[in-house]
Amino acid sequence: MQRDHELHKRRRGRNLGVLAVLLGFAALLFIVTIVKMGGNSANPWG
Amino acid sequence: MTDASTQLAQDYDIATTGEAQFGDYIALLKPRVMRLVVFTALAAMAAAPAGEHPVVALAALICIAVGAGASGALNMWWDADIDAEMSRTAGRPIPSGRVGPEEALGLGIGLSILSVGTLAVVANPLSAALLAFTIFFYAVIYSIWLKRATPQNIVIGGAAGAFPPVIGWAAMTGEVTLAPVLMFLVIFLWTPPHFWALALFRNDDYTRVGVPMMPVVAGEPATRRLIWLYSLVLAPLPVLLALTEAGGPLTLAAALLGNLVFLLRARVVAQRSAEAAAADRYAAEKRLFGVSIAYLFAIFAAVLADAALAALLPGLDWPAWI
Repeated sequence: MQRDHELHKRRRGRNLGVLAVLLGFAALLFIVTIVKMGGNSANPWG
Repeated sequence: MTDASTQLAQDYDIATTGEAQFGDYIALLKPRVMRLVVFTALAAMAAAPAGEHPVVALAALICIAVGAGASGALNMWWDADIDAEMSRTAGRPIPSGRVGPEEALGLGIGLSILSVGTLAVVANPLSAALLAFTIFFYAVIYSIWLKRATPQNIVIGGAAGAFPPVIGWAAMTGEVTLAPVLMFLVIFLWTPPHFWALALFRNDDYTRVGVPMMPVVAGEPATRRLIWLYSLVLAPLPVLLALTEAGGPLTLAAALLGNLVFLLRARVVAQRSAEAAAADRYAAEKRLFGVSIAYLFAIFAAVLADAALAALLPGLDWPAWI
């Protein structure tokens, strides 16, 4: 059964690209937050 | 059922102008322009005296790059009609039908807000305000207002391309001093001779779509004189930059050597007649265009190298040293 069309492949590539950008953005903000709060913020009890 | 769904998908494919791929969105952000933006901003950030944490600097640099990309998308949205008619730009995502105009507009506005907001948070409000102004300047003042209205379009539009090092410096230090202003002026005054050299050998394209580039409006001889004039005004600026806290011996060497080559090439272009240029298919103009790219690259690469040198040799103390 053939369910994939060229259109779906192109859309999947685009969606994965957007996902990667969003994850990268979230990771960047997270790391900047850790850095801005100081070296011990990842381990506040340390 | 399978056949029906495939048929439906095919119909949809034909009915829409095209389904954008991820690469089309990247193309909307003008990655080649973005490269120059990242490079000049990075050089300014490296040369700035007060250093932010490298992660914060990286985040700020990404914001500047995305902001520049957003203004590129807005520029392509507005210019889709003339882009379709010029050979250099006909393959861009909107004129080729791969991305809809409203999609480009949405991407441009969305990324503008995101990049400015994020820069305000990770760096400081001053750099965010400068980035917002740069996007507004390029998209509205240059693209929408001036590009099709005045032959000074390139001169004024050059300011948009000149802002990234100022934004980078402001992101690192929270202020704007003489050094980033000189970096701004170097790019600002470099832009006209760079683009007029291109316009001389791409004149037909601009004439056809009615963009009043200098050779179209003022003619070739006037454009050649202006290239020489701007090159003369430009020349002292990278030398002055080399003598500031952002400069160093490598910047000074690059400025002096770069000026020598650039002025020689500009002089050749200034003294040529249109007939001589047509005879060798604008070889000297193409040469000047290539030299201008190398010139700007060399100066900012030298600023970057001087920053590395200062980190390796803390006792150098450049401005006092001279």
